Amino acid sequence: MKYIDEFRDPKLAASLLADIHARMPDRPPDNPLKLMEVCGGHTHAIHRAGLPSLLPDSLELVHGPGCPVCVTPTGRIDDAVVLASEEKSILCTFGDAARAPGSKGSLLDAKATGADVRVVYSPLDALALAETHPDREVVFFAVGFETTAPAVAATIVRARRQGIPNFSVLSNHVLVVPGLKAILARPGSKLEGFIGPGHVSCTIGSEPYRFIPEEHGLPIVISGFEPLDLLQALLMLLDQLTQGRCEVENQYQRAVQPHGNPTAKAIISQVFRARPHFAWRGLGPVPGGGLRLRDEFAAFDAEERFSLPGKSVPDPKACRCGEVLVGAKKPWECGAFATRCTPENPLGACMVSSEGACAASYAYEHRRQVSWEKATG
Amino acid sequence: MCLALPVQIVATDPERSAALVEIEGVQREICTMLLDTDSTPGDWVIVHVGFALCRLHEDAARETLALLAEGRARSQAPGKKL
Amino acid sequence: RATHVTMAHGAGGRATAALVKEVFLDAYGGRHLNRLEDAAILPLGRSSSLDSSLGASHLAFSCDSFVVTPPCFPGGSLGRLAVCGTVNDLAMAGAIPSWLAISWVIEEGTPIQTLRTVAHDIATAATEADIEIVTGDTKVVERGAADGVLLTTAGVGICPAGRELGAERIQPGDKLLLSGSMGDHGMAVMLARGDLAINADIRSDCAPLGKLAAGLLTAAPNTRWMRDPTRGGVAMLCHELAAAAEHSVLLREQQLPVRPAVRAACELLGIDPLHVANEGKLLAVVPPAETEDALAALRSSPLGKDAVLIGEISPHLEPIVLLETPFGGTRLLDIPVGNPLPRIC
Repeated sequence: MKYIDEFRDPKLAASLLADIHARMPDRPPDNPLKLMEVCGGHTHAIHRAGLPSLLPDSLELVHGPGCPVCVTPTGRIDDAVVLASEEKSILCTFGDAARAPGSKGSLLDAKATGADVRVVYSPLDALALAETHPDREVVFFAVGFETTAPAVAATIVRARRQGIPNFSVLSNHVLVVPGLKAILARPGSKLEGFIGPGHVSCTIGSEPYRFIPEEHGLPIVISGFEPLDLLQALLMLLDQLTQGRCEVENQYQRAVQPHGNPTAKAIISQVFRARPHFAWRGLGPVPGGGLRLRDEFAAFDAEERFSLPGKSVPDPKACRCGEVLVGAKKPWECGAFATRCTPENPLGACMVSSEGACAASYAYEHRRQVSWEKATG
Repeated sequence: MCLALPVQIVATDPERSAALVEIEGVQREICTMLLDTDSTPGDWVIVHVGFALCRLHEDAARETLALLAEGRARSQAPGKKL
Repeated sequence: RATHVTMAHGAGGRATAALVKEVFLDAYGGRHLNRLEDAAILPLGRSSSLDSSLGASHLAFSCDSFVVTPPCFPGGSLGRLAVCGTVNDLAMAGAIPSWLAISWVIEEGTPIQTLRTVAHDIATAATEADIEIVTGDTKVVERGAADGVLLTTAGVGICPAGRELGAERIQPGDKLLLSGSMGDHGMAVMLARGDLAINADIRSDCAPLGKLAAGLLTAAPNTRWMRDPTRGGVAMLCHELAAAAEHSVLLREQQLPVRPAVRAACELLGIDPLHVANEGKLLAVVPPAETEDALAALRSSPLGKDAVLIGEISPHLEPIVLLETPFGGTRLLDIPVGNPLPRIC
């Protein structure tokens, strides 16, 4: 068992697809069944397998806000650029976060003009840099949901235990449940069910999603990341809808437990506390939507150690990401789509990530009629 | 949201909360601070940004595959609901 | 004797002459280079790898520059990369690579031993590629003005008569052949930097493609177009092909060869092997009738033993790259944005 190839078997995928088509409730084309895959990783896996071209036309997968890089507010990237440009600092970041544009360019743009910006695979690599560069201020630009927050928390605990004074974290961690609540609170949401995030749920478990069926009457199935996982999760959602059931189901049983990972949850709450609210790009201020280091870890909190502009740069008025995120608007129904808002200079979250709803549409969807048959002539 | 990957533990160093993991011959040392129990070589874990995020359970994986192979959706299995 | 490069080595005087003689000539000296003239006078009638029956009427001429960190990596080095990169550009144009010029820009303070290693790799690759380094130059810059050693090259090759390669000859239904696995070079260099702390048995595929290309063109004379998928990988190259041919390019993901270790390293870092650089692979567009012969020719060479049919040219006129996934679905292949970077989402 290697946990990857077994879950990419094309034969099993074909039978799952057949079941999905067979059990799909019939829907007029102008009122498709809208299901949201919350997690950006799922969006990426769905596109990579080419699933949109195989699913029924009356089933629309709405890409959720689950890409931590895309929802990071512009003002926070501007703060990171300011920090990176300080003479003594080394600004460490994940690769995709390095490309996310702030109002005066991205971290990679800052690197080009002399800032010491380094792409790292792990927060521990940033801590190692702090150990080997005692004369420099190493700051880790932390983004990510509850999947990444425990890793950063563990790194901060280790930094304190090892007494490393020149390491700090600029925390932009976001929480999935407040984000989902913000989406469900938006008017005009046409969502009828959720594919729940897989690896966030490794940390928080499946219990925290109970509010979705109980308070909103919508089904949610937590899914793995391989094509068979996603297809099976979709089928489970369709079965709930057609059988009149509405509950939290867990397709990713090999990795997700009902109560998640207690150690990971404990270290998050040891190091971080929820912010009263945190702006998500495209959704605006989300109550309890972000994490900040607790006071006893203030020595490792970049917001405490350095004076940052801390300006909140609101989303441009033309940006309709909020409505696109809840399926109330299609990307091309936003006035800025493909004109002021393009992958090269994205206005909102949905255009920042290469799989965000608008970026995907800019590249893929509106060419969707170029199906394989037409292309092969 | 979270790029993570199943990898197999090939060696452990409990004092440093570290483990050497491997996938198709590619090896890296990761941190096991987030795992609640000690890990032993042969275990499978999900790795994310250099940390073991959680353990992978082979029995659950085989059960999921068995259901797929029978062509029946997971939900029809009795008693599997939360 | 000096152990490190100083500004004197760049001044064109005694120190420069000593460096050229003891390092460059010692490694890859030859009939033309040893004359230390400002230009090499090259006989057009005879060439080390051209027999007169080919009646060449055209020269192929290309230039390139090379800087790689780290300068040495599993399967290759700066010196090997400089020769292979230049030779392959000539070979992809259908020419027989013949002569190379190599110009060094060296940072003050670089150990002389580093130069010897690079020069030795140049010599080995030149022999392997059956080409001759006929002229060159050396400059030294202040410490900090360059990062170690930079190499700039120019290459000349003879185009045998009758070989016309060009995108305008591409037709719908033509087949796409890839000479081997994707992503080996890019991942080898990325892991060799060490900052990702990942170790894997991944070696660069850096190799001269002159003979492989010649064998292909002999077996499939109506080959339309050839390129080596370097920066941006096969994905970028297919976009360039689609634009040049003004037709859609169709790829079958199931056929795309990726070594297990390269695939695993890419999955770990969130990188698509289609976007990763290769330095010893070629992509050829051949007419359907010559596909089998072309594949056989490629597979008969060690550099093409894993050659495979990966797709075709579509009659559809939109310059896009469409990928059929192993599940029968289709997706548009996006154009890589910058270098592949480890991502978390």
